[in-house]
Amino acid sequence: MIKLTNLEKIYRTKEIETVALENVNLEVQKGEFLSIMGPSGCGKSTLLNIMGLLDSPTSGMVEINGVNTVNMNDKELAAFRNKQLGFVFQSFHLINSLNVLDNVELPLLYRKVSASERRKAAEAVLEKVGLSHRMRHFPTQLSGGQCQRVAIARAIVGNPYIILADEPTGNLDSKMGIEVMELLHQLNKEDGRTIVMVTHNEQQAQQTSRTIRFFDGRQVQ
Amino acid sequence: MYKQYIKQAWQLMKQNRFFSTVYVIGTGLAISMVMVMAVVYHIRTANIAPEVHRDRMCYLSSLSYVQGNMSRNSHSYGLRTIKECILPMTTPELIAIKVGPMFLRYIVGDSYLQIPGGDVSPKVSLMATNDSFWQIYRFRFLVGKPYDGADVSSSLSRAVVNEKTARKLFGKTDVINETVLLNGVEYSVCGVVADVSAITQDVYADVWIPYSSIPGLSEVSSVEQRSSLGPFTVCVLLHSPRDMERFLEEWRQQIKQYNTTLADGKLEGEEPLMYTRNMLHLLFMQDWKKTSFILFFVLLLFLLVPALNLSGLNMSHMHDRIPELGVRRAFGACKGVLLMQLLTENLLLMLPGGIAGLLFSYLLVWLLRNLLLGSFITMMSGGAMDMSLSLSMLVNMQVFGYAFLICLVLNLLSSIVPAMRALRIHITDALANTTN
Amino acid sequence: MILHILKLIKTNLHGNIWVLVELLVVFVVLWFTTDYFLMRGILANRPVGFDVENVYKVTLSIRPANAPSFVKYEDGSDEPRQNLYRIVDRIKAHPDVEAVCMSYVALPYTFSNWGIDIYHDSIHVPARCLNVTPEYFKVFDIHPASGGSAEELVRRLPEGAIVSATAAQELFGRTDVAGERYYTSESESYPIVAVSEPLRNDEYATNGNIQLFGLLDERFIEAFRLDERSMSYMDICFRTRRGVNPQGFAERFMKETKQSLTAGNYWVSEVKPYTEIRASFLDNSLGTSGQKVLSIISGFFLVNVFLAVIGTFWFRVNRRRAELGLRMAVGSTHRGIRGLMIGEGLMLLFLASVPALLVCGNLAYMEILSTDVMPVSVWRFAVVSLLSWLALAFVIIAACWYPSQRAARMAPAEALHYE
Repeated sequence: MIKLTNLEKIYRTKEIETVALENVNLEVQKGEFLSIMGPSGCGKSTLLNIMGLLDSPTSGMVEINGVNTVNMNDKELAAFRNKQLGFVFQSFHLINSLNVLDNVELPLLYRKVSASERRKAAEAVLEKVGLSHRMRHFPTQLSGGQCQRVAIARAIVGNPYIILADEPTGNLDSKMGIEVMELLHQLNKEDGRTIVMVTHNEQQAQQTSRTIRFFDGRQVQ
Repeated sequence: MYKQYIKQAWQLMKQNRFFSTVYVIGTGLAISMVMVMAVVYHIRTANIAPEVHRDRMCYLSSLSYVQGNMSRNSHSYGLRTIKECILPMTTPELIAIKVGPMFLRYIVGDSYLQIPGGDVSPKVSLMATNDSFWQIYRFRFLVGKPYDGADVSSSLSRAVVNEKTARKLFGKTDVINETVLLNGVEYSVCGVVADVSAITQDVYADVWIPYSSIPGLSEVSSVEQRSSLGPFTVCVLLHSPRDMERFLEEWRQQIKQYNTTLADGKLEGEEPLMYTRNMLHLLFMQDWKKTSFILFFVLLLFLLVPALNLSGLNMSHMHDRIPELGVRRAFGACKGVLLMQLLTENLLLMLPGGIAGLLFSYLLVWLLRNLLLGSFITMMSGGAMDMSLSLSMLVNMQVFGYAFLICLVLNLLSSIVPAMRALRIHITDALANTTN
Repeated sequence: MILHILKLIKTNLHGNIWVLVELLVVFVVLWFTTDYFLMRGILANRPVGFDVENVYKVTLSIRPANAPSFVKYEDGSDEPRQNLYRIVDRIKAHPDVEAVCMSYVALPYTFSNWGIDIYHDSIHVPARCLNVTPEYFKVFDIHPASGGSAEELVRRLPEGAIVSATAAQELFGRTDVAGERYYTSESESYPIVAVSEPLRNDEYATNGNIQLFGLLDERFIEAFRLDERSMSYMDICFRTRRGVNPQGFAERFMKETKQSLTAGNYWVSEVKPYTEIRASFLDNSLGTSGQKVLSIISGFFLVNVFLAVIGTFWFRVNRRRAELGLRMAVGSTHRGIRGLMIGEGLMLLFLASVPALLVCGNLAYMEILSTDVMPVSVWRFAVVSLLSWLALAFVIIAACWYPSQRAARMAPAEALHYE
């Protein structure tokens, strides 16, 4: 599903050169639930961003679903992300000026989908995450857990193969965290979606099908 | 998709009341200043009743009689020149002649109207015309009809008066065939027209009479210079604006031909210009290219300063929305789509300001109408003229079109740089940019 | 403190650059309008010389030749002129009238004038000719340059020409020129019998103030071959006696004299207070129009600056809540916070005004400014710059007020929490 070969990412400023990723080779299988662990600044978020085509590697190859994405332009990348990938962020990143329904519809907005179909699809996924009764609310009126569930709904509304989650429970208390994790597992098992998750939580990592660990830009396990 | 934009723009406005207020006032102000210029341009150049054919009209009003290389007398067209040289022309659709109130005042002094034996004798603004004047300009006749060609050629004392004057004299408008005394001379009223505003300055008057009914105008002097020059303005209606070149050619030819019949001197006319250009020329005393350049510069300054202003605001506002742009891009929006969204949103945000600005510009035009819409003639009259603005002069599709166009330009000027800069930020940085 | 503010501005440069550019443009525009208004103000406060209070202008009309009551006089008949004088005499006979005059293209607050070039030695200047009857000086209350009453000028006019002080100054470099002669060509010269105080057509007239008064009498009418019609262009003005109520006087006068003010083909059609003529002239003159337009433009730019500053600072307060909270936490007072923001605003203005003044200075140096009122001097430059700076400073302080108020009202804990 995702294949990273000889991946390297270096941040350069005038004075210093920081190696964020070094010689990373990784393959994620279809239907897998992969968790990435490591201390802060080890490069795991960079890795996730590169997998999500939000960032480009300094060198190496990123192959997703059999397509090499390295030389794509902004428009192609955007279309690719739209169809194949769904994101869940630590700080939810919901748009405060849109209500829940409109937030969930967002990925479909950038496809040629009619307004009524968008609405139907968004309602369906909101039902799935258990927030049908909150469709007209604005993100500021929701609790953290509810926000993250809206974010997950948004990530899956476009039916992507892969969901990339960057510390999805990082901003939540443990009870809400467990709810969100259950939802992710359900998506992985019932819908067969591939999930890659960055986490600090050892317990959550153990529940996934595979865990890899990073240290100073290198995969150590 | 656009429904989404509208919804979000509305939410953004509600959530940032202060920003929205400042923004609406800022755009309103910017737009009102430029709209004042646009409305004035419209009123001064569009076809507005009774001047319904401005787009294909031109005026001949400056003629000189040159003797040798020393003596030059400049005035307007005389009756002989008009009869021998202008009326026979074939290019125009119609030719009217008139003597406006300002020239007429020099010839007959102030004019007063009175009913025989009546107490009131209001001072009136008088215009002398021929019959085709009524065909070129579309007046609204309340009763009666204009004087015709036969009336003019037999020098009948017929008068068309406006509603205001009819009411002042008779207390009513149904006054056909009533007799009035114009400076003591009997005239019979043949028609009453709705009042015209001095804004349509080429036809503005209270009373219109056949030029032939004034002895000083209808006599053709035997002195060459006196018959060639005179107080008449020639109003030429062309079949189409494109005929201007052909008309000019014919006009030169006619003057040349006429000069061969003169013994002591020759005529030199100022080349006529189409209505709009002529108007710009009279207002700014510069050739129209220079005028357009100056106007363009003023326009730019009026748009540029508010655009800087709004750019600054947009920059700050955009800063707050960088994470949102990151999210949208993560979920598949490409830069072009987002740029369009931001521009559309900004345009929507501008519309309330645009409407407010348009209304404010109406107020400004109304308050400054003497200054903006007046002319030398209204200035000379001490501004006592009826400078009323009708609703249709202000509220029409053309003016709305200008307003929208200005919004669009201002939108591009003020939001394209902030939007581009916000979109240049890398997605990962945009997404990391959460707290401040 | 100043250094500290400069550092803040530098770090916020991206947000500030727009305000800076706008301040620069507006400063230059405002500088020009300030200069214009200052010059206009100075001009308006200089004396005009003509006193038009309690003065009325009479409009003479003439019957058209085809009117039934038209009286036809033979060519060369003196009767029309006598008719004119009859009307003047009848006005003078009115108990409320102190003085009546006739003049030909010689009234203040009008656009009409005519003139000739006059010489003395090698100096020649264009002079405005005012042909008037002697009482003109009494009607408009014009005094001799050396002081004294209008009566003196009334007495002297029949003896020769009277020039205004400005004319004397231009021609001779001094004002005590009674007894000198002026030339209209090499062979033609005329005596100057008196010098009037400086006169101006209106409050804002800067040129055309070189007046040459000549007597309006039968010889003038003859020399100009004024016929019956042209004589109706003669302007008749009168001054009312002290103590006559000006309220509604024109209407009262018209009513009382309706029958008597007709002679031959002439009749008085209107009597108008001269103050009205002045008001409508000033309302419609180009200068007033310019003043209106420029006030609107400056107002427009000032409001823009206000909006720009208030907008930018408001956003900045929102974004710098944490910083402001920290400042308060380490001991800055509410007033200190406000002072900091206003200081930042004024510093921005100062930074923008440096290049702006360079631009203005260059433009002044290039002689773009009008020197009608006074030459361009360092003093003028400094005053105008200071005034425009103060105007903008006022607007900026007003604009900083609300955001800084908001910032100061925030509790430190809340502000820090925001981070």
